[in-house]
Amino acid sequence: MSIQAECAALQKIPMFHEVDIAKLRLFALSGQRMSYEAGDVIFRENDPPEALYVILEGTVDVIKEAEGHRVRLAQIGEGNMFGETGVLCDQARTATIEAATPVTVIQIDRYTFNEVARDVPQLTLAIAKELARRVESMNRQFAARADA
Amino acid sequence: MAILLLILGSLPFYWMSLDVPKRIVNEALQGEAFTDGQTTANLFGMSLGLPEFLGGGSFTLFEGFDFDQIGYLLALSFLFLFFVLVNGAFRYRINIDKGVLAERMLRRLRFDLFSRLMRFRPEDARQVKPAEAATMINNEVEPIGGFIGDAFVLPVFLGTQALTALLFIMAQSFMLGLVAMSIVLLQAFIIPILRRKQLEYARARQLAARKLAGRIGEMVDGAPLIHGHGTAPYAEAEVGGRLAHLFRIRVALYNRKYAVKYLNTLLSQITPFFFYAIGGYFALTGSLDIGQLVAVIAAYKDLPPPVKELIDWDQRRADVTIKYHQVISQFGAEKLMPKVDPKADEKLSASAPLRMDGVRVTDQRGSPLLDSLTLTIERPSHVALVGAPGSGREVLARLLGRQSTDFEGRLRMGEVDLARLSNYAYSRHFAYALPEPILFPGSLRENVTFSLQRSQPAVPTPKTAAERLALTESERSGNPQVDTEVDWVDYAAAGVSSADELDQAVFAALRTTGLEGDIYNFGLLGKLSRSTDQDVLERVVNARHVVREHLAEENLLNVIEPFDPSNFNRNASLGENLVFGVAAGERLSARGLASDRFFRAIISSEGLEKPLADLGLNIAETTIETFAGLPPGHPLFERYALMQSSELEEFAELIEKAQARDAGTKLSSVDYDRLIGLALGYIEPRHRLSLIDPALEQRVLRARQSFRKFIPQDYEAEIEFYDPDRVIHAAPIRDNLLFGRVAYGISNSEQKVAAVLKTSLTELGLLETVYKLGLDYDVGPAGKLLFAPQRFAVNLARCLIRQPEALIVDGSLSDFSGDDATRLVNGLHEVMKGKTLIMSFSDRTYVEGFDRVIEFDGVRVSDYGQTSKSAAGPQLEPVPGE
Repeated sequence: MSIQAECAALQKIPMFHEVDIAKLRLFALSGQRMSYEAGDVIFRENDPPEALYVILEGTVDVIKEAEGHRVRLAQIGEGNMFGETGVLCDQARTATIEAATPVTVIQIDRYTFNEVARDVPQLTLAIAKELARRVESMNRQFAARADA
Repeated sequence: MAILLLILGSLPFYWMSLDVPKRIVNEALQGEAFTDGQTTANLFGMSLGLPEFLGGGSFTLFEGFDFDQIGYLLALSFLFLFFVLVNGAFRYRINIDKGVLAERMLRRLRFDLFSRLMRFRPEDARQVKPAEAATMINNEVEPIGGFIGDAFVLPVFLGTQALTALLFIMAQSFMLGLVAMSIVLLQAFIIPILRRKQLEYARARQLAARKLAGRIGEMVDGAPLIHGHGTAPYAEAEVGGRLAHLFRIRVALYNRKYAVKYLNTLLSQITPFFFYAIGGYFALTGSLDIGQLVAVIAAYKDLPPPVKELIDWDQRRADVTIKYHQVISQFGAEKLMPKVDPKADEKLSASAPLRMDGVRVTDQRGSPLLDSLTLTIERPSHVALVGAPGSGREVLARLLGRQSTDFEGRLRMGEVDLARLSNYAYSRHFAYALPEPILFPGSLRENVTFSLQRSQPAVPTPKTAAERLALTESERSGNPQVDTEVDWVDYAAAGVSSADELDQAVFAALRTTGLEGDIYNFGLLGKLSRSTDQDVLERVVNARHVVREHLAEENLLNVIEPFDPSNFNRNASLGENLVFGVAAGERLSARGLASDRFFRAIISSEGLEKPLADLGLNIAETTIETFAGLPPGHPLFERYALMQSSELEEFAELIEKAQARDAGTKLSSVDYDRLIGLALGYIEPRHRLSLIDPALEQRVLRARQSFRKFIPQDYEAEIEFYDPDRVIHAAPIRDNLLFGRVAYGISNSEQKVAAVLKTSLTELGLLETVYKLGLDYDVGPAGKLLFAPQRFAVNLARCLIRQPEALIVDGSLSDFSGDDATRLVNGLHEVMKGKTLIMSFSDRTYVEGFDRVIEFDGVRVSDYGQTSKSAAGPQLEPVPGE
């Protein structure tokens, strides 16, 4: 997959819809493309937040381990980002991420991400909007449950 | 003074050069020396006549030589030539001395300004725009310095020359002298007056042209608006009006300029009219001989140029005076702190508390930034200042760090007033880590040891004439007599005794600030110089086997792509693949290679020139699109782009040219060199533009074989081929140890391989070598090759290395991860044990371990905190009004 294809994949992600292709290319170029086989662990719960990831191909499982049990909390597929909360909030990983299928991701380490975020406001705003959207969605879910 | 004496010394010779032509005409040509039937006449004879009251008579000093008329003429002509040469020599010497004087003064002026800049109060220094200050010191003083050489020499030189010529004319004929003097005076007074107006017009023209350019720029920017509203005629009328104004100024300027020129020429040329008319009359009536008239006309020819130059000099003097005042006003004494004086070092107590009495800091409008602070900080102690960004805690940290000197109240250490303490004494006891780290281009080591460059070495004894001259010149121009070639490092401050031990101290300081791992990683990118011990080189070659074994044990062999002469290495650049080695000199460096004739012949024979140029074009287009929005020198550009940010514009033009090729534009060979040079740095899995296919790889491999086979003998020193049995000095030590490249795109491969390498290096006793190489790592311009936390850490290590009694850390730890920040703070507690540590935080996250936490709410302290030493007595003093 070339960087053009990576950018095209990034542009399909809703939060990056409005970001210029040149900025996405900078984002992609600042990171590395990584491949994982199904079953590979990308990071484990409590690991330090070293990087964030955008899935270009494949699916990952979000797994929580408690008292020897593995619980799959969610599955994240192509065109989604994960690991950004840890990087932005400087928190250890709250779950383990494991490749459910062969996965290709763009991995951007935290320091590079900080520099990109500092100098490419379009990207920062896109990520901020996405996080706000998630909070809003959660609030709505809580409100719906409370009403029920 | 010496030049002035030289000028005075030159005047008799100048006079003689005016007098000899008169003698040639009168004595040689008209035969005055050969009266009364003499066939020979004496020349150069010298006798000393005594006055009557001493008895009269004369003594012959030199008998001279007898010449016939032709010989006499030739002797006088050669004498004239001799004076011409002597005058030329004087002029040459005076000009040289004047130039040296100018350069010396320029050097002094530049140094004084820089020295003053270094003494600016921190708050004033922050107001200075670096580019403006640099331009002022570098460019704007250039004409001032140049003029200083002329300031005294030129008027004396030209003035005395003009005066000599005038006196000479008067000596020949007082009347003609008066005429010449009147014309000269007229020139000297009227022309400058007329010129003044001319200069006013010139300035007005410059201003009008600048305004016109600005307005045109605005209109170009606003073209869509103008089109949209159909107001183009109005815009045209406005520009037309401005052009008319400019036209009027220019016409007035030309009128004045040519009027001045006309008058100047007229005055210069009208004088000979008087000389011919009046002088001719005197000659015909016998009161002036022909020789004198010729000499007067010759002397007058020398008169206008000095007068004109003096007028120009006066104009330059006026301009330079204005410029000088402009520059000096920017470096006013009111902004200056006392000069750093090592003799002003004061012994300060390590336990004297820091006392603040009614300290108040305001901004330029008088609004308080820190209000009524009365506080005592016991020493030694570890104190956290906590407050929101912009609150008083930042101001207090700056005050303690001496970055703010404009405050009310008193700030003392024991009984010593900190405001009066010399910078040198202050910085011996205190260290202040700036919130925005300032790094200079250079190695990590150089950046850390920068704070130790304060030993004030003695002036070295000059050994050669050149050294003596350099020293004398430094003294004459008021510059420092010790340069940075001498060792300035204050080893004692770092607790070491020699340069050999210094690396340990640098490393220890960087380890405290959490950079140990980074230094190791940087070290792996370092190169082993040719002066490295043979034993170390052998161990590196042997390490290759050990490393491979460890990689195999860790199942990591698959992440290494070895250097194999018969395989294309996808994780190496195209250039490296083509030459299968690393350039050892400039000739075959990434850029040099593209323009090297032998290399070009090789790639041309493999039909690679065009594909590589196309590849370069593709890279150039992508790079420009991707990085165009970033400011010049941005870290991302430095790290990821294949070109320098300064080259963006050139490559953009090149792309335009390439795109217009169909229209007949051709790329030059230099353009091709640039594009191919760009392609040679390309690594497919790194840059991911999908530009390399298996066919291209095969052609590259064929070119590689040819390159190796046909390489000329004189290229041997230019390249080091990958050889499993030898150290490649031009390659990073990591490549040497792995004899291959870590593959891109495999998760954590870099870290895992680095860990394996560390094990192997430890076993082989090479780890210290790598750490030392790590200290050589170039941080890039302003440290841009480092990440923000690394820059912060280097800045902090710079403070720690000189083992201060008190360390003030005024920076946000937000760039660090939580664990790293905690480790850093704990490390500082450890290393500053028994000393004073003051850290500024935006919240209480890291305050555990501090003896005392002082909290700020806005400009005032909201909580003075409790100190573990409170049992020793109250440290807090009530704040007035609280």
